[in-house]
Amino acid sequence: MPPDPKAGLWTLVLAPLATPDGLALLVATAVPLILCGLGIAMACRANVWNLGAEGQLAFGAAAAGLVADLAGPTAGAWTMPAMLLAAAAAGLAWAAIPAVLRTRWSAPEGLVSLLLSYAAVQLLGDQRDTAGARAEPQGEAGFVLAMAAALLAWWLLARTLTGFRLRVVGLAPRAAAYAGFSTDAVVWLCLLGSGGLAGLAGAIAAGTILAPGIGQTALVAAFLGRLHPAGVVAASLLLADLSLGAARLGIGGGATLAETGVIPGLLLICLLACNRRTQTGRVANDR
Amino acid sequence: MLELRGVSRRVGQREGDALACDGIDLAISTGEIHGLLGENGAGKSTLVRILAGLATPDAGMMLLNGAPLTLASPRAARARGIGVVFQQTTLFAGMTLAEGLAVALGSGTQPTAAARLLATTSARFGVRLDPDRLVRSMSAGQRRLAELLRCVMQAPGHMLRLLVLDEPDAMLAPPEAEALTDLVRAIAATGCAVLCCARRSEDVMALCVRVTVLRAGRVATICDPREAGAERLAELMTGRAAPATRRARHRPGAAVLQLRGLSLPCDQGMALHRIDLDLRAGEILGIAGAAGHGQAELVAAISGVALARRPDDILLEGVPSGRLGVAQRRRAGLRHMPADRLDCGVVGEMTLSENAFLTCWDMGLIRRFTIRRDKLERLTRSIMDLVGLPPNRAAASVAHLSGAELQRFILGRELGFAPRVVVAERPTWGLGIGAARDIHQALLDLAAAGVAVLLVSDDLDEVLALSDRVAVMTEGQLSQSVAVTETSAAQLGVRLADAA
Repeated sequence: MPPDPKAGLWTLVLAPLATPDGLALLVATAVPLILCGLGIAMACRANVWNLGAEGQLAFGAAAAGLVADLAGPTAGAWTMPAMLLAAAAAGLAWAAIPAVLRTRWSAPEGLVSLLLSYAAVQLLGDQRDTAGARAEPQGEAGFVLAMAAALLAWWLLARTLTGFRLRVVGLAPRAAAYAGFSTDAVVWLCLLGSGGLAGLAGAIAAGTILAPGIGQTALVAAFLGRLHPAGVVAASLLLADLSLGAARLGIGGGATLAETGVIPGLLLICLLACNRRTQTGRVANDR
Repeated sequence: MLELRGVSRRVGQREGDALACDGIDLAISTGEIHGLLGENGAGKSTLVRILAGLATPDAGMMLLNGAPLTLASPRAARARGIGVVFQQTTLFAGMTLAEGLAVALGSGTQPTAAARLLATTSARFGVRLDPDRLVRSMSAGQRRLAELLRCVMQAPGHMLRLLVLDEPDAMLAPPEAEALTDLVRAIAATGCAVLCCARRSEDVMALCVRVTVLRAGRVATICDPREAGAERLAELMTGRAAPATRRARHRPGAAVLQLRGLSLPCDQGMALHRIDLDLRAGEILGIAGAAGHGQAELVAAISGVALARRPDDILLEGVPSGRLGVAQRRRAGLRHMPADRLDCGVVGEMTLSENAFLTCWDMGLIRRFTIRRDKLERLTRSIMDLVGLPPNRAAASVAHLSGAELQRFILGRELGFAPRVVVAERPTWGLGIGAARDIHQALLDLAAAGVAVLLVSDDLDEVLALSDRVAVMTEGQLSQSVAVTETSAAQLGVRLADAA
């Protein structure tokens, strides 16, 4: 008997939303995506490409794990903030490498950050798996943090001089130079900011179902969300939903991970294909 | 001869779109050089495109030597003996002239064959061009000559029936323009009708005995340009009598901007070599020169986009400013109207308000890290009031402004706040006569109000008309300045040609 498409769709899209536990899991899965995606989206608005969220996240997770180890069983009220802070700092530091190379020697930051993320995963491979076991589940606090980050990102982009600089550098680099905005400063800000957010996501993500490939999925979320903070939140929730549904489909319906991964991929392709003018502007305009 | 009867063409594809050409009648007899004058948007380019086979008329008919003319493609136009020289070179910059011509001739022509044909064609018209020279290294005038010969070589039997020139003299130094004029005359003498399109009446005066003036897609008049005179022709093109620019005589004050032996290496473009300059309050100093001789780099160094090597290289009101950034220099009263308005002067995707913020962001518009949008709104309104743009468009994207409106907006933004020094870089480039006059008057008024104005332009007439003193830029060096009363277009033109 052929599989029932309706049942399949239900499992893929709606089943993860059906129970309170499922919703909690959905939110926990979406939080790291939101954090990484916000950073990537903001950087993309300035035409700065951070494709290495995966590595920055790994460093963040490792740093958080290290702090947890140091604190040991005597974990107090300060442990959690210290873990988050250390994670953000680690992600930021790892993202500083492409920033230096770009501003000093004009190395393409997208390529450098992408390759560095493979290096990071090689370096930290084992620790990352164990860090998860030590971290506590972050459910609601993580979501509040992600929402705060999204709000801050929106305010920064739409209402502040910093956000304005960022957008001008992304849309018209020559106009930015004319206005007196430093492209290098914006590159630094974007890479450090998105690296820090990815590190933060690493502290929170440890132990959730998406653990491998969050960086890549966050890139999809950023573009699916049209590089707008609110869009990134919505896209991250959708992608988390689909990935949880895909896991269920894999368990109950016999679909492989590769097969279920087609859905978000198709989503992105459809969006990009009908997207004649993206927010990043020039890339699409120079047809 | 060429005859156009009631040729019309809509701007877009749809019924009811505005007409770019509205019932144009035109007759050019064999051997005649006929001028076509009009502002931007008057319909010149559309007509050129129709004759080049790039567009088809929606109505009307065309006759060439009595036979009806329908041009489905550029190839069809060439097959009928029609040659078109566009403003931009069609020869590839990275090829030698012979290779470029071989590509233009098509159907597997070898560069050696193209070179042979070039030799016979150029001998026929008494022109000298080196077939092995890279197109990139040729001067603008030589490229224009090569394009003309290209048209002859492409024509069946190497006999042109109609030659169309789109702004042939734009940006040429006088001796080069003369060589071009001679070649156009020689081609006309072979029995070819020539249509010469221009925005400025000066460009057709020397060549044409009859001009057709277009205004808003219609023929305004047909006349002898020398009889009508430049003033009358400008009136016919714009449709209104424009007052000539007025200037108040005044004495220049203290030096406001000084360059002291400014040298700057440059990876791409022209390096600057030991540039000295004194710009005094209340005067307009014109920097003439063919584009690409270091003007852009000089303006970048003055505005602060490129930093000088020593602070003392640039003095702003006596203060060493060579190492100050753009924003610091702007606060010191230096304002800049860039040549590349849409790419550099504004961000096309942003609104007028946001673009006002672009260079006014340090004018008290921020409180607790947040942009004060009400205050920015008022600032934008005041800029738009100043230059007469309708205030309800503050929230519109600048991409919707016309070239003239955009330049007025930039003018208001940069000049509205008591500047001390203004760098105007090719300020009327691409603008119609009326709009150009407004900009010229604004610059003259600024100087009269005691502002130091540096006018950088490759339009010699503009430089001579506005400046008190003129200097010429060649290969990254700036000549001594001379009072404009002691020089002429011809003298400066010789200098420009020596440099080219």
